[in-house]
Formats: sequence, structure tokens, C-alpha cells
Amino acid sequence: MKSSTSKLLALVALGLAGLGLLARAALPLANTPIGNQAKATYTDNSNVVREVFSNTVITRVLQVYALDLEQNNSRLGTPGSQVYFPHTVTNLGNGNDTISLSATNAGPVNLTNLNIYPDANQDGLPDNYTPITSTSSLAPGAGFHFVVVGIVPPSATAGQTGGVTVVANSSDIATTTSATDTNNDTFTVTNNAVMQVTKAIDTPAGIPGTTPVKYTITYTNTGNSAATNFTITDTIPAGMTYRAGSARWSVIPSTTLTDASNSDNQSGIIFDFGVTTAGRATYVVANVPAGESGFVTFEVSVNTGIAPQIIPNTAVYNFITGGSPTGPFNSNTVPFQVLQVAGVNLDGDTIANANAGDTIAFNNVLTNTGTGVDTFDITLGSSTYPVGTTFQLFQSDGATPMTDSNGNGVPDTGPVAAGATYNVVMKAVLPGNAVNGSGPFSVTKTARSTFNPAVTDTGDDVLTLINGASVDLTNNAAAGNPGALGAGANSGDNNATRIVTNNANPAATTTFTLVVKNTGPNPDSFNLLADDDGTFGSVNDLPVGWTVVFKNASGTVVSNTGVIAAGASATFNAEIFVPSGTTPGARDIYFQSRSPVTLAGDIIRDAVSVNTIRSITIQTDNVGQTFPGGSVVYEHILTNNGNVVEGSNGGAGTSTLTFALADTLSGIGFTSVTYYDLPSSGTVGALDAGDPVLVSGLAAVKPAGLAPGEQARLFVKVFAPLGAPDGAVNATTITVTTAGVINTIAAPAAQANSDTTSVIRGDLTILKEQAIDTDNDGDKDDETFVTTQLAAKPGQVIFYRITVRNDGSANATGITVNDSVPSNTTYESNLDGAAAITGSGTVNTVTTAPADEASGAFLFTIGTLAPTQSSVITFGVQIDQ
Amino acid sequence: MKLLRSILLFLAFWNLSYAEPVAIKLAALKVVAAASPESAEKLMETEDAAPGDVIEYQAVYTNTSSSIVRNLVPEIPIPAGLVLLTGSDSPKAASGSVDRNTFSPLPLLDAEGRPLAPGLIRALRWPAMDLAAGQTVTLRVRATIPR
Repeated sequence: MKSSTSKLLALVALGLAGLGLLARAALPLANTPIGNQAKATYTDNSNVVREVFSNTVITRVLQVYALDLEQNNSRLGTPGSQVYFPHTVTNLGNGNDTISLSATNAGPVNLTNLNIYPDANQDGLPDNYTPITSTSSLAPGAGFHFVVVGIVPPSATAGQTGGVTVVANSSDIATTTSATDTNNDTFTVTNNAVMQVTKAIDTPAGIPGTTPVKYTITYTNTGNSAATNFTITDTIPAGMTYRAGSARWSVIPSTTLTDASNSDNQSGIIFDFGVTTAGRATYVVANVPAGESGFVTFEVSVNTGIAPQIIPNTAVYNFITGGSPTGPFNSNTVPFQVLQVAGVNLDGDTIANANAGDTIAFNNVLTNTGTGVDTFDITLGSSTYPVGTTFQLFQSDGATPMTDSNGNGVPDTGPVAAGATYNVVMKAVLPGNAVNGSGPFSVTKTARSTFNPAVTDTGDDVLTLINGASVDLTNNAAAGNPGALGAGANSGDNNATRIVTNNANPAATTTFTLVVKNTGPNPDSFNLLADDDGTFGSVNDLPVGWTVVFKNASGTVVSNTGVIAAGASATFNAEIFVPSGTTPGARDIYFQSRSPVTLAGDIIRDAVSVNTIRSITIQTDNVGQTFPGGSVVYEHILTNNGNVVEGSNGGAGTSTLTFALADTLSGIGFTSVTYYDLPSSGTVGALDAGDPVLVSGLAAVKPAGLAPGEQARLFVKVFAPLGAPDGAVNATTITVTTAGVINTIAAPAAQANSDTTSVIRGDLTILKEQAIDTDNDGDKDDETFVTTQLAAKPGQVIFYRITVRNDGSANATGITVNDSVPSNTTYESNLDGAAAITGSGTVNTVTTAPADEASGAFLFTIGTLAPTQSSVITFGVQIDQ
Repeated sequence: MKLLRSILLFLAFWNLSYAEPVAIKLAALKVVAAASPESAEKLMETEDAAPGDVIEYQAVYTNTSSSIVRNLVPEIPIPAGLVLLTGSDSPKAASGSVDRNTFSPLPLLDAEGRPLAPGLIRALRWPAMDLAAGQTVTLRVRATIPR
């Protein structure tokens, strides 16, 4: 009687119970979205396999119509009595449907007042007497119960038969020919007993374990004679268990009908359970007179753990009337709906470790611990994963993103059978810059039953350890290789100690070999920096004058390592320039390799030990000239080119600077002396009276000594003796001797300069002549000057003329002439007697002269006379009277 | 729900900020059979399909980057509830899977060497290919909604 395809036949054969749900599994419900998302894998530039997904396309399932109508009935009826034909129609389509119903007489005897009435409680009797022509709106899989009722015409005679054709059509009957079904009911007219039997249930639905559930089987003899040996049997259906001692009869309502015997007559009824036939309740009522009614009852318990289903139960009866066994007949079928109980268990998953940037898949086994098919919404809760971690839920295949199959906006598992498991795959994409670290990291997922949203379970996906971006900076060899120094990734080194110390001279470059090993799981690149205290900023930070240059293996200057594959390493030279004058001792040089992307970084502490450099220089050799009795001053610059203080004479660890002078012509009277140009005295750069003589060493005049790079100015003054011959050459050697060990470094060798002094005679001639003012006119020019002795009277004036002439080969410099007023005379400053000087002298000044008519000294300053030049001095005196 | 939405939003943002070099556009088209032997079948864009209808999935893979993409392995799933039309893959797929996890060369066979029911096949994969910058490849497969 199935109207649809063989598939539907099979479904129905499985029973009403799972109809809706099974239909749902095979035939998508109307409006069900079917989503699809293509994907691809590919290899990126770093040889990492990546996944990419397309958009999601949704196809909505359209509605199809199908139905099933049950059942064919056979009934007895006396003329003028009602006959009842119970039916159930089930919507086997994938959407809601309102099914139209009709009942028509098929003859030969036609029932009158033939109508269809609803029978929601499925007791086989109309709920009311309002005829219907269609069902209410039925959800997919839902059933609708109704009773076809008609009256046997009073004119009918025993033995006549008739039929009723019952038709159910889906609402789209106009377009879908298959959506219709037909039942054929028959009846036979009798004048004997007609037992009308209906069955009812007090609890039509309940969850597994419900107890008690009472069935009531009501009978009425609507015939015209008694029925004897009226036997009602009821096989307890699967999924239910008979409750011992629960059977009753309305005639003796307080008497418990005994289960264990099928021969004990209890006031007209014999009852047994399981004796006559296993698993069956059997009632035999000895006699039911015409017009008499009664009922029997029994109770069952619904078995625990059974699937949601509809358990139908039909009583069967037969009797003897008119001497003939009649029946068996079926009562109406009473359903008990086993309600579903939701239950879910979600097991979390734990992964021991994963790399930053990895996609890790957690397998969470969800078990439907409920009694029926259920769909579970999966939601993500709070997470302690690193910021930037993304989560995505996948179906059991681990590849299809979990989508929303039931339209509530939440991804779900789709239908999961009772007791079945479903693997909820959650993929976590760890950010590429996740740091190394132990968690555990956890994210909570909640599985929520859509059948009963109050039923949930949670499972945590735990990642114990993340292998994050990581780098190990070492000296000389890659971490893990022989010769590597300073291993320990991510500043895990003990930076309290210096790993490598390079010795270096000031003004020189020293090279450290740095090896950067990418100990993280992904390719990465690292900036290289140097710092003097380990507090790295964004640029190199070294003391003033220090510089660093990083060079890769091919000698190119770099500031970043470039991409280093996971597990690979790259070697760099860090060239540190130490500026001149840097004092001795070790200085920290911290190197850092740090990824600007993942921020993974490592620091290694090295050092440059600056060597002690000792170097004193004195400059320079000079050449000078002087004249006999003259002197010449030579300048020397003493420089400390080392990097330690020299000459401070502070005892151990310091040095002395002493000076020695030697003249090659000391034998003929050349002498020399050294002065220190005291910066605080007079003019710097010139010998002045405040400049002290260097006698015992530098510390005596400069206690601090000579700092690195510092200079001191010395003057060597050489004196030529008066008798030095013309052309004599004296070499004055000044020797600087450094003494004392500093930082185990011995004093540098003594340094010397030689000043060469040549003696050049001036060959200056002086001619002094006199003349007497014989005519007493005060004019000297009318007198004759002579060098011979003259005679004069008291009161007369004597003129003196002094001629200074350079007959030498070189300039005569600094010429001064001293004279004085002779005894017994006084200076006559009037007329030509006034002291005067003329000629080529560069100065030609009367520097000093006595007062008129006084005695005293004269000083004449001529200055310089070139060869052959001369100056003439005149003055007069008067002989005392 | 709110959290999920924020995660999806974040995913969207993540995808934007790390632009994938491969873009995949998937379309579902209903196949309308030819009305007569002379006419051709039609592909209709549709969002609805009734049991018995045939859906053609067209996936267009485009290399949107400026460099070659290597070892691209396209995969089109057959959603649960649909039945693969055997031989409808174009170009011919290389392998198929019943669990989208393990892929085997086509045709898929059961333990006794018989062809597997097409309704069990949940995904097809195509041979690995290289896509030059800007290059596009279109893959097709058909499936039907069972009655």
C-alpha cells in the first residue's frame, strides 16, 4: 500500500518509529542548505605547504511530497450500527504538508453517514464528531490519526458485505502523481454478537524508563446475541515490559488477575501472562451478553535506553457467537511515543607541542549519549592561546569546515545517531610570531544538543608547549657544532660572563665571528646590533669613537642576516674599531640578533681587551745660530702617543719621564738648559720667566704626568761662550727617558732630539773719536774728529763720535752701545752736544742719557746692522771749570 | 555565538592582511537537460535544487600573486547528501576520497576490488599543477541530490 518509491517502502518497513529521522538522513529536508567549499594546497616560497579555501556556495533543497496511508480494516456490523475504521497517514516528504482525506463507499452495501473524524488519542474512536477532509499541517515524518465512521443501513441483512475506499492526497497532488495512497476497508453484516473493541493508553508519550503506562481495552457487545469465550490477547511490544500483577477487569476492579495460570477462573475471567503464549497477556471472558460493556487493563514499563520511537500496540480478539468462532479481529493500534533523551559527551584533546605558525588539529570525540539522533552545536569558548591564534572547526574528515546544517547560525555536527561518535576537528593556527613557551594553552569547546539545548558538555583542546621563533647567537661556530661558544637560545646564555675577549690596539680593528642559528621552526631573519651595556635599542650603541660593521660571508656590509631557514645558520664578522687613545682594559661588547618580525632574539656578551700601548715622542730636531756669548732657544713637543699616563711618577704602575742634555762643544763652554712651558705662566708657546727649568723629571713640574694623547712643550736654551769661534757647530741632544713598567709593559725606548747651533761672529767694529769745540760755537761739524789725544782747557766742550760698523758676513743683531760721561766732565746736552744716533741701525735710539750738566751712563740701541752697514753716535761733554 | 562571530571576523581580517596568492571562486550551477536532441543542455545559476536535480560545481583557481605558485593541488568536496556523477569531473581528477582525509587514485575500489558506490565519495583531487602569475584554471564536477 505504499505509494512512493522502494526506498520509502524500506523506510516504512523499519517502523513508524524512526520515520522522520531516517527520512531526514537520506532525503534532505526542504530548505536544507547544502554548502560546499573548494580548497587547494600549494607550496609557498618557503617550501611550506599552505591551504586556501574558496567561497562557500549554498544550494537549498526544494520540497518533495510523499505520504503513506495505513491501514486496511475489516469489521463486523449489525444493521443500523456504526462501524469504525481507524487509519494513520504519515508525511514522508521532506517538508510540511497538509494532506487531504476522503472516504467513499465501494459497495455493494453502502454505509450511510460516512465521515472522517480526528482520532488524536488513537483510541480508535472519534475525538469529536466534526467531520474533516484533511489533516492539519504535518511536519516531515509526522503522522495523523483519524477514524472513518459509517452506519450499516438497517435494511442490510446478515452476510452482506460492503467496502469503503479511503484516499489520502498530498497538497501538491496536482503536480506529483506519486503523493497519494489508498486503503480499502471492508465490513460484514451480522445479526449475532458484534464485539467492538477499542484500545487506549493513559500515557501516550514518555522517555525511556517511564512507568507505569496503563493500557485499557474496552469492549462492547453491540450485536444482538451474547458472545462467549471472548478472548483478548495483547502481545507486549518490544521496548516495553509487562508489570507483574497489573492486570484488572472492570467487573472485579479490585481483584488482581493472576498472571501465572491460564486455568483459574476469577469471577468469569481467566487471565494469564506468558503462560498461554510467551510475552503475551491473554484474557478470556466467559460470556458477554448483548449490550454489555467492560474493560480490561494492564500496565507496562518503558524499557530504559531505548531509542526514540513510536511503539504501536494492537489487541487481538475473537469470540464465539451463534455457535461459530468469530475473528480474530484487530483493535485499533495505540502508539506510545518514546521521547528522546539528549546526552552528549565531548572529550578534549591534548597535543604535546607544536611550532609557531603551525596548524594543529585537535580531534575531539563527541559521543551522542542520548537515546536518539541529535545534532550538536559546537561553540568555542575562552582561550589562553597566544594572541593571534585562530581557530576553525572542521568536520570529522578534518578538511571540511564545520558548517551550520540546521539553520540556527551555529556550526554543528549534523545528525549523530544515538551512541555514535563524531570527531569534531578543531584546527588552531598558531601565529608565526608566537614565542617559545610552555602553556598549557587551552581553548574550551562546548557541544550543545539541539534537541535539548540544556544538555551540553565541554572539552578542552590543550597544547602543552609551543616551539616559538627562536635564535641562538654564538661565537665561532653554530650552536650545537664543535667550537661554538655561548650557546643558549633566546638570551638563555649566562650573560654574566664574557664569552670571547679579543685583544686589540687602539686605532685598530678587531673581528668577532658571530654565528646566528635559527633555532625556531620557521624561516626568519634577524637584525644585528652591537651595544656596550646590553641595553639594546634600535641602533648600535658603542662608546664615542667606537664603530661596528657587520659583514656576511661574502664580505658585504649588512645589518640583517637575511632569511635563515629553520635549523640553518649564517656566519658574520663583526668588525669593531677601537679609537686611538682608548685606555687599556676590557670593555663589554654585547651582540644581539633579533627578528623584527617574530621578535625572537639572542644576546651574546663578548669583550674587547685594549692593549697597553706605550709611546713617547719628542719633536723635533732644530737648527739655530747664535753669536759668541749669545744664546738660542729651541722648542720641543713631547707627546704621549700611548694609552696610559706617562711621567706621573706615582710609584708602582706608573712611570717617570726624565730629560738629559748633552752638548758636543761643552768642552769650549757651550751649555744648555731645559725649560717646561708652564701653561699657566706667561705666553703659551714662548719661554717666559715663569717657565720652570726641568731638572729632575716631568713630575716635578707636571705632577699629573702626560695623559694619553697629551703634549708638553719644552724649551732648550743653548748658550754659546764668548770665545766661540766663528762657524763652530754645537749639537745639543735632549734625551727623554721613560722608566717604569705599566700593565706589565716595559717602558718604551728613550727618545732624543738634536738641536744644532752654529756660531756666527757679527765682526762688528766700533770706532770712537773725539774733537774739541775750539771755537766754542757748539758746532761739531767745523771741528776735526781724531782718535789721538787732545789737550783742552776747563770749560771747553769735547764732542765724541762713535761709529759702529758691521764688517761681518751676517746680520749683527741686538746691537746696543754703552758709554758714560768721563770723569771731570758733565754731559752737555745743548747744541751738537746732545746725544744722537744716525745711520742704518734698525732701531737707532738713545735709550738712556744723563741729565744736562750731569754725569752718568749712556745706552744706545742700534738694533740690527746688515753687513757693511753702520750707525754713528755723537754726544758732547763739558770739562769741569 | 558572539565569540564565534568574532573569530570569523578575525579570520576574515587575517585573510586580508596575509593575502593568499591563490583565489578560489566556487559556483554551484543546476544542469538543465537538453529539451531536444538538437539543443544543448544549460547551466543555470541557482540557489535551489530539488531531489533528483544535478548540480555542477565549478571551481576557478586564480593565481593572484606576481610569482608562480607551485604544487597547487585543487580539491572539490562533494557535500554529504549529494551523490557524485561518476565521470563528470573535468578535467579528469586524479584521486578521490571517502573521508576527505585519505585520497586514492580513481576509480575508488572497495576491499574486493569493486567500484565504490559514487554516493560514498566525498571529495575529488586533481593532479598537482603549477600556476603562473595571473593564470587561471577551471575544474568541474557534477553531483545529484538523491530522491
